[in-house]
Amino acid sequence: MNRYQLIFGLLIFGCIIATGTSWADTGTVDTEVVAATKGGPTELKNLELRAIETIKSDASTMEKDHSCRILRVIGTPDSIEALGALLTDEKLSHIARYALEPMRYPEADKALSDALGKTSGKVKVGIINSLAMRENERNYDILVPLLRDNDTEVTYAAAWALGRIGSSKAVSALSEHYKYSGKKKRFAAADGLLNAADQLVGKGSLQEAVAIYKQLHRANSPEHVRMGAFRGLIEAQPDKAAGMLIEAIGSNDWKTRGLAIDMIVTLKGQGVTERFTAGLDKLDADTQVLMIGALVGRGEKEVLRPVITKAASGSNAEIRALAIKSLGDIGDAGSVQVLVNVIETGKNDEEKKLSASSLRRLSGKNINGQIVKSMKTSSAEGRVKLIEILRDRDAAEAVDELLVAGSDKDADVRRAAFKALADLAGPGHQKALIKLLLDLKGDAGRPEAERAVVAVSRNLDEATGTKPILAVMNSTATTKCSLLRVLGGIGNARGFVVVRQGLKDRNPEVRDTAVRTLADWPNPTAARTLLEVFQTTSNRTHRIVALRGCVRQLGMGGLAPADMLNICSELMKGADRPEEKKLILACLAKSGDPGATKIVAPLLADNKVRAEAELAMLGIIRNMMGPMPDEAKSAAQNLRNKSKNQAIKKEAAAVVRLVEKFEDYIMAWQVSGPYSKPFANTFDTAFGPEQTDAEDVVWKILPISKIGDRPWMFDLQKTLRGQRKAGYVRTWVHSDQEQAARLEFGTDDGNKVWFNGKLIHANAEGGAAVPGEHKVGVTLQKGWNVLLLKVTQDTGSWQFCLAIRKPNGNKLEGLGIKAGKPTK
Amino acid sequence: MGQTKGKGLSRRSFLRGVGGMIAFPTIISATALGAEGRPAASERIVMGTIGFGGRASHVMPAFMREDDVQMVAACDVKGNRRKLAQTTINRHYGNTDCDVYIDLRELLAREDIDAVLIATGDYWHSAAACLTARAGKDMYCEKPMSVTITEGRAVADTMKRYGRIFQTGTQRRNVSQFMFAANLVHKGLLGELKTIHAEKAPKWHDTYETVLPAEPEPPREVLDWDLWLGPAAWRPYNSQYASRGFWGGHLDFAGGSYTEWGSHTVDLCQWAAKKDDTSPVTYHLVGKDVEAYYEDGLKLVLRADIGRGSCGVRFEGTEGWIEVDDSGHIDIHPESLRSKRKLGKGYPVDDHVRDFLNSFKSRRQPAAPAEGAHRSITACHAANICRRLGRSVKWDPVKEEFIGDEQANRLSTRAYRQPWRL
Repeated sequence: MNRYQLIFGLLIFGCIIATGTSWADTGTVDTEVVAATKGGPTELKNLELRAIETIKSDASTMEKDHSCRILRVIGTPDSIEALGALLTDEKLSHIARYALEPMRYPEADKALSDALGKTSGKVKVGIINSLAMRENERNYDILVPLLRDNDTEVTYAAAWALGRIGSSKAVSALSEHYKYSGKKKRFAAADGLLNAADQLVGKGSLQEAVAIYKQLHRANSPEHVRMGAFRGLIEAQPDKAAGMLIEAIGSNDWKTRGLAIDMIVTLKGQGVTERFTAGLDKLDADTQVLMIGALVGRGEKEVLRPVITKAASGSNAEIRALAIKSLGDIGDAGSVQVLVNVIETGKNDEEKKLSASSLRRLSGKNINGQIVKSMKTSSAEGRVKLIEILRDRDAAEAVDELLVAGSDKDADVRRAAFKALADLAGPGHQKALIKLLLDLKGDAGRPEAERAVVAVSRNLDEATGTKPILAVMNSTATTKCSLLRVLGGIGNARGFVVVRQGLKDRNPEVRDTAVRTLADWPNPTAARTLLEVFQTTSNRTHRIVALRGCVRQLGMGGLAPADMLNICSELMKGADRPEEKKLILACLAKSGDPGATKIVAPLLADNKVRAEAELAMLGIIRNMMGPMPDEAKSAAQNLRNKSKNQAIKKEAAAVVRLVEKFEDYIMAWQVSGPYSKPFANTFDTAFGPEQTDAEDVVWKILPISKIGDRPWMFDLQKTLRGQRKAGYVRTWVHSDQEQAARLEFGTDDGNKVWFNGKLIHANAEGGAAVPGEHKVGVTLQKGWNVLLLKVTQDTGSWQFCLAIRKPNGNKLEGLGIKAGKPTK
Repeated sequence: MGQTKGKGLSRRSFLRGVGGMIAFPTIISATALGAEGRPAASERIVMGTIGFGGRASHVMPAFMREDDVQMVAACDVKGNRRKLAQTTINRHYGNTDCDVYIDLRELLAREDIDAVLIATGDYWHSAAACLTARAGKDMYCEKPMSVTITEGRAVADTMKRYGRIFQTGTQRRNVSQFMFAANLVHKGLLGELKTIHAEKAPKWHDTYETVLPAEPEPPREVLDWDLWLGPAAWRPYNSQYASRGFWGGHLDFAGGSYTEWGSHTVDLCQWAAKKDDTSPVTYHLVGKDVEAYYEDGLKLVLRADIGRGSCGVRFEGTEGWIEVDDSGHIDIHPESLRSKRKLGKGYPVDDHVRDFLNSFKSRRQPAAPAEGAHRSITACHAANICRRLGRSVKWDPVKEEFIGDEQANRLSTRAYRQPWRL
């Protein structure tokens, strides 16, 4: 370490000591100002006096800096003399201006003016800049002479300052300066003049402003000065603006032309759009394109529509493309056929796409009706496009025409029609759709037609939705297969019976469809039937389809654990290939039932599936941790000891360590959320889980927290995330007898607790989750008891922990916990 | 019945729907194309970079990826950054043409440069922008565009005065998931807009004015301390000031949590609410958050923890709400409003850069022009002043001053260190 490094190190160390461990020292100026303000006028005055005293003393530069910062916020005329004295100090002049510049006292102007004569160079420039920011016309007299200062930087600053002042006298001085200065000073004067002219416009002195703008809008001015002056001329002369813009749009200066076009968008006045559209086609293509954009931006659709419509069929590709796009924004029902024509006969795919996009965006009356009308005279390809557009436009009024298109001779049209009908048709269209399906020849459009029937039928109750389908089951094999797939897509109990019967159909095509439909069933209803197929079929393909379908449905949840294990066990008995066993093991891994370990255990010795069996065992153990920590720990220890796979051993050991930290907290929960509602208090609002009849409440297993040594402190922020929300957790508690108990819990933030459906505690207060902060007595019924906890989230952490203990706070043994509705 | 609103719209048409914009073609004709489809050298937009820290290392390459851009110069007060910028540019073009500068005024004096990327520290943005405009160049300026309200007004006025194209680096205006959210509001699909939430950054809530102990100043070639400070108040050199993690919360150089993310999120809120020409009129401190109200009663909440990623916004209307952020995850109600299109995630800058370049050529204002950026960052500054003073403040968006509040008005501006000016 050299000498400099040592000094650096010591300085940094000193800094750390001086500022504490955090940089965020909250800003002492703010703290002092706020405290003094709250303390009242006397304290505020005292703070000012202390700051003035510091400035006058021989305090260090940074101490004086600090005082100036305080005076910047609270300084009164009393502080100006002291601050003014600092203006000539090269090191402190700026910070003195820091305080003086925003003060609205004339004394501040005087202090700054007085300092001008005593300073030079950058310090003087700084003072001029502060006078400029104050924009006081009275400072004119002291600034004008500075335009002739020997220091060029001083002259620049003076020109800028006079520009900000913007008075007539300032303008005169700047104009003279502009005329007789060299290039650089001339630009500084122009800058000042432009600024002054803008201010004159603001004050209503338009003629004066126009004179300046004209002076600057000359060929020898820098390009950006000319542009600024041009913009000023337009704004200061609203009556001449349109004419000037039209002239500028025809100029060779592309930047001014662009600026002019941009200004069209906001130009005020009657007939503006008409004036600009009149000569549109005489402009070059690039300019026309820009003009169209600007005119569309003005939003005067009626005037612009004929011009744009004409341009949509013009000869220039760029203009045509933009016009087609623009019709989507300004068009009406009359534009539909124009756009349809482009789809039919457009010059290229890009234009066809643009046209389709415009048809999707068109707004106004009878657009969908006009598209439907256009369909009748369109080619098949065009009809497909228009059907897709109607679908995207949510055009429910087009359903009748779409039903007609469902029997179109063109297969693509049929497909498109059925896809649209799946989205747009209502329950009243079910029979018509079924008829279309029955009448369908060949397979083209069949899957789409089936999906359309499913979509419509799902919105009907089970009996109504299924009856018309069952009524036509006696049909050809092809149609019957279609209807079986439809029933599978609907997935209700009535349909299941029929599809199950299909397994015994004489026709092999129907039998095959029945197996596949059951395998694809949208809920676990078909799992046991698929097991039977797996066990009994001699068809190898059906066996595999049934196994895969069965395993998939078991993984959906919803079956009683005992049923699920029973089916798995039966599947495992019938499985004769490692691939089949692996599928079943993967399914078992999701279980948290000790019974699953019994199925998996024998496979730990099977070399062909050992790896999968160990993974499955680990998965089961992890899911058991919450509801059955002791059993999980024992199984994990066993797995750790017996596995030869180091990764598995490590994971199993981690489970053991984690379970040892659970104490007597409830570790098995389901969670639902986050919930919030605009303008509503999350604590008081009864969201779905609080409502007995609520639908669409999704519950999932709450992961065990990874909060260091407190895994029982559940982290809802990690699972649900958010702020000003509510979350719900629930669990079921089994007691062998009726007994008194006490819930001991902590939540961050507020909470409500329901025990066996009854609200027993509510606390809206926020704050950290303190274990045992809330204690509520309950009576555990013999058998299962349901516990629901709402935890609201304001800001920051979102946590909770809960234990069920004896009324005296001691551990309560023998309770069963289950994160899921018990089946018995 | 399926909900298909917004389905199938192209990104461009979507953009137009959101911002009332239209895609402009380039003025450069196809016949002027140079080798490999690039515009001829004489038709390219010649650019320089002012400041080459972390942000510029993302944005500058995005410019260089555009065929019609030629980056020729870089400026940074730090020697290692200058070198890195030069190496990056030369490597991209396979030449040794990039010139480097310590002082931005030297770069701006080059007449061959058409436009610049300004990616300095926050406190330099406004001063650099005004200098750039006076030099007759257009600019893509990183956010926040100002550290005081006075600065923002000066920048907006100066851009207008010289007919300059100014694109604020609030690229989320050109990022699909945010465009989707704003479009829902614009189309009225959330009903009447009631509350808009803008996420503030998780760090730098408590700003500071810490003075660090003096260290020996490094040579100018390593770091030009006077230029690093620029318009900010002088203080003795300490190496930690120049660290982003430090100056981001220091009031001399930035605005902390509120301006760091608020420059994006409040901007998105104002954009969605079509309030690019105004700011809220009252600001109230609520815990560590600020709640503000526009003249028409719309509520803006500046708070933490919105969405699941960074820079979250939430728009609440009488018929629904949406919460969106950089993660790409969208929380929405009712669910039927969810886009059928695959929306993006993150906050890529390429479309925003392209938007600026298109505006350079068309002279049409880009997606994030100076006036809108000034109005949204004004809301952030006002919220900061409310927080710093520990009390409510009232703002007049027409006069652009706090009403009857001398302390707040003084905090809304500050004198530049000599010789810098706006």
